[in-house]
Amino acid sequence: MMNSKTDYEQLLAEVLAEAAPTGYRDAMLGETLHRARRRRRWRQTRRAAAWLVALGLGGIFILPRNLPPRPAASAPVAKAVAQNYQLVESQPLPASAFVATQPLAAGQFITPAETVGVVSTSSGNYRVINDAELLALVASHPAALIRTGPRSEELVFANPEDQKGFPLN
Amino acid sequence: MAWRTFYDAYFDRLWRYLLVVAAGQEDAAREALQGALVRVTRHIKVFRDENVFWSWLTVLARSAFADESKKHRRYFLFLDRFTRQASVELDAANERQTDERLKSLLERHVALLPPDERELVEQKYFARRTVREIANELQMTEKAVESKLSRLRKKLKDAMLTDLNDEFQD
Repeated sequence: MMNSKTDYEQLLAEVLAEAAPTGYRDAMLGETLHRARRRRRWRQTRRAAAWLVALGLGGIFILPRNLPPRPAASAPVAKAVAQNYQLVESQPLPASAFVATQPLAAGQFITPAETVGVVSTSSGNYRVINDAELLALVASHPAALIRTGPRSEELVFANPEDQKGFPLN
Repeated sequence: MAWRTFYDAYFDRLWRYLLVVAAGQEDAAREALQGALVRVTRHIKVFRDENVFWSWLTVLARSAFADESKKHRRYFLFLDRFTRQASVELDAANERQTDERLKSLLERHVALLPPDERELVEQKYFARRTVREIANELQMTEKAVESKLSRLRKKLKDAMLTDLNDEFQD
């Protein structure tokens, strides 16, 4: 019997349909569509997430510039530890702050003279005089003895020149 | 809707193609077909020419098959088989005549059928007679004829896939 390629085409289609039955074909269509939809949902979700991330990043970088400055958060304070010593830190002084001494030249020395006369006093060679004797002592110069306190008196000369002093006889 | 149209137009063709690429291993062909269809949903685009589109589909199908084979490649023996499989894939890709290969196998196995079975196939597919006509002529019920045809198709399918697998083993 003559047969053409078309005849075999039909037979081939049905023979191979035995390998891929209708149920399998439908199941694969459903599975593929399911995967395609899942992939589309995933793509949409990913895109939305990317937008959210971009918006979030934009908010992080843009919003702080427009908001009033907030008081800086207090830094955590370390607990004070009682110490039995005080730490003092020193720094080297600058050269300009140094003060230095130099030896004097020979001509600048001042040495004490040994020819100074020594005046010494001796006890018992004086006598306390009374008011009358005092006034008698300066009798040649008019003066008055003024009591300024219970135990103090002041000798006042009538002539201001005498106040400066004068030799006694 | 577009996907369903594509599916109806290309499912069988891809299935045949992958049966040849997979050297008649139905399970491998099924996995590869699933992978290929998923890839189509991912990368589908507009083609100006149907032949270019088919070439693109075969590339997706072969790469899906290669990926599925890698998943199952656990032993050296399988690795060796895969290497030889690659040459089968390459041949199939170069020739792009998977249908011709299947048809020639089918033709051969139809010729090898016992006379009564071959007669039944010829009556149904080449003489284009209905099942009822055949049943009347053979004095059988339509259901019996349908059942016999179904067994014959399965027999032909098994023989063809075995041949494909044997080619791959050689």
